[in-house]
Amino acid sequence: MRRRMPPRTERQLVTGLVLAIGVFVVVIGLSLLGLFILLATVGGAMGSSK
Amino acid sequence: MIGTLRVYWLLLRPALLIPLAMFAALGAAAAGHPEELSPLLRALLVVAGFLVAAVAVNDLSDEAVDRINLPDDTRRPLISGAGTRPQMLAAAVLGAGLALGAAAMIGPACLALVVAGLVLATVYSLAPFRLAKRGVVAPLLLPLGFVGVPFGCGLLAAGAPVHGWQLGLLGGLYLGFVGRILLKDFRDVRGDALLGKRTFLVRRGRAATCALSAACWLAGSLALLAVPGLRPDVVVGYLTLTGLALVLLRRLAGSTAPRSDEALILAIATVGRGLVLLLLAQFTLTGRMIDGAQSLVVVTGCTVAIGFVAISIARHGPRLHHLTVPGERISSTSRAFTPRKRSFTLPD
Repeated sequence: MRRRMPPRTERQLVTGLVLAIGVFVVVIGLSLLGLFILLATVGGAMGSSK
Repeated sequence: MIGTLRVYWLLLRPALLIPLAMFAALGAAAAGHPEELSPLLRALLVVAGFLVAAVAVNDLSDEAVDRINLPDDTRRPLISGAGTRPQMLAAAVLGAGLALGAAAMIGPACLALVVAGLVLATVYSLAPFRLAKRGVVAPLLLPLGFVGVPFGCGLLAAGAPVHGWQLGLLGGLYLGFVGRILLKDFRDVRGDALLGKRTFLVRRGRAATCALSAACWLAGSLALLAVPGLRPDVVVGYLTLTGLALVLLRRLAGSTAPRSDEALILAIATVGRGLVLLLLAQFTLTGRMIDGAQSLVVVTGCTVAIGFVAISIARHGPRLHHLTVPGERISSTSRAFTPRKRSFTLPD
């Protein structure tokens, strides 16, 4: 039977992925887009239903 | 004065400020100025004033219903006791003044737009109009201000002429936001029903609300067709996330638990912000002439990241603050572990 990933590990993986994309976008010179990537994703954890 | 400024700060809710800032950035990007700080900052100044004015007026008129729906919300000064009604009123006036002043610096068209937005925010919340209580009218009108004002300010702050396709894009963003704002009423259904606030959800129930939201999502996604020079990777990402939103909406239509409702609605909102992000990526990548592998990594990465975040939130809910339970209550009574009943049964 497949074991499900613990929520904390899953969240850490997701956060790592978002940070990696954000850093890559900033490295290629798109710093505002990188900022909004972080806001759009991390903002979701702050209870926004909008 | 310090109290008013503190209330002003509390009313700048990240949950609203972030989507509105993204619409402003998208407006500036659609005008051909992605990655330029100056037009974005001028638009954000307007947005910061407009948002506080609209939220303060709404909080003043919804105090009774918020006491039932959101008794623990620390960002509602009237409920948490962090602010008084006169301070809220002063913050609303300050916000409106800031928005009008910053809009006047952008130009007369922007000033007219913000005046219209402030009038809409007022009739939405205050008697005798009180549009917030009028069923489907409320979610149809509110996004006009929350999407139209920031997008329009970004567009006008960039100083480029307005084209028809930009208005088409605005229409799509508006419909998509209607699809999301319809779901906000799930959180508030208990107090709304008790105090006679006849929202669409209270009137028509869960299934109809989810169906209308899905229709708005689909209609809103047509906005993509308005954008010139669409990148294939953006189209694939956009359709993937729209599909994920529809799956989550279907699960919400069949959900029976308030906790699950909350998680699904937050996940759907995250997907909505992801779609705006992909549109922003479309303009930024095109404007900076970034093609090939780098573009693919950015767009695919954004799509995958947003999808993973949304699925994770749908599964586990938002990240919770750690709670400390005093030891003596654990041993002396089991009342500390009795959950408060916050569920409300909706018609199917």
